[in-house]
Amino acid sequence: MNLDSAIKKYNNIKAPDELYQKTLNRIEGENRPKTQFSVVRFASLVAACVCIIAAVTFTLVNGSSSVILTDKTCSVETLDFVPVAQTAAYGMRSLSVIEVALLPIELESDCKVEFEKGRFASRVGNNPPAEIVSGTTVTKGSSLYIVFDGENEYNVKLTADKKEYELIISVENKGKIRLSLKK
Amino acid sequence: MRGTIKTEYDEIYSAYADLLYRLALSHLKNSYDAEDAVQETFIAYFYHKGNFADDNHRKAWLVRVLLNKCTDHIRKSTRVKTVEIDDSVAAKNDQDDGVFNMVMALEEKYKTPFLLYYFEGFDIKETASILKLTVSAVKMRLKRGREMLKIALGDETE
Repeated sequence: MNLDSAIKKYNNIKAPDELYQKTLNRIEGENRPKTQFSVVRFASLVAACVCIIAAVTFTLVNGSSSVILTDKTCSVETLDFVPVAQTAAYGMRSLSVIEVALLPIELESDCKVEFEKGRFASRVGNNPPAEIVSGTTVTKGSSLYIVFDGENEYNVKLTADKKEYELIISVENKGKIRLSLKK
Repeated sequence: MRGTIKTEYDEIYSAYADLLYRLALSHLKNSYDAEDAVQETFIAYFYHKGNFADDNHRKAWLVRVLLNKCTDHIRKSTRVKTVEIDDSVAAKNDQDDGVFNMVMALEEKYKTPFLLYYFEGFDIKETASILKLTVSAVKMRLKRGREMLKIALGDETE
């Protein structure tokens, strides 16, 4: 059994060039003062927005700007699950749960977010996501993050333009999240 | 980032990024998760306030953390799409892909010591320390890994 060629092949695996900068950015995110703003941060904001929009596509209801979601079943691969270590990079160290993922939902209007249980966070622009309490109004253009911390179902009441919506996020089984929205 | 951290990052990254990425890719078989695991390992490094006795100690610590990150990823991974490991290999013209693929196909408990010992050059004691195993357990896993490869190669040549 000759391992030499296998070892050679293995050693030819190199970290992608872009990994250097990606990692550096994340480490910078951990160390940089949160109020600092730079061209790089602005570029990150644009990139993050593009990623979020691409990752989560929601349908407008009634053509109104107040609409947020429609009934939809999405597989996880189409949603942007962020592992816990990455949330730490965004300044969410206070989220101490281990099995956690974040589902970002882009809000198309100012939206009051109410919930009885579960944990939620919002992100305005390129600021780090911040955990919110029930009753917080999340502004248009922000992303709402639901912290999946092991529960099977999360209920949220969203109030936008005086219309109430009930958003139910249920974890059906591996890889499937159902988003259900009722007016 | 302060200059000192950047300098340290450059040093650590150039020394260990390829090693960590190779190991992560071997375990996760998915370049996206592998990149995540490597990033998380470096972040953990910069939050690790302990001192390292020497470079070997630091290297072993990074590998240990990376393997833990890989285990975490595997445990909670719900992604469907994966990237074949070959897609990320720079050299595709090696003749003996068979052995490489068979090593990659070994069970994790045999593959990890195999990679650390034969491919990454850790000695038996270091491998045992990284994997939190006894020396004899590592030797046994290496032996069984070799046997499995022999059997697999035998099957292929038949």
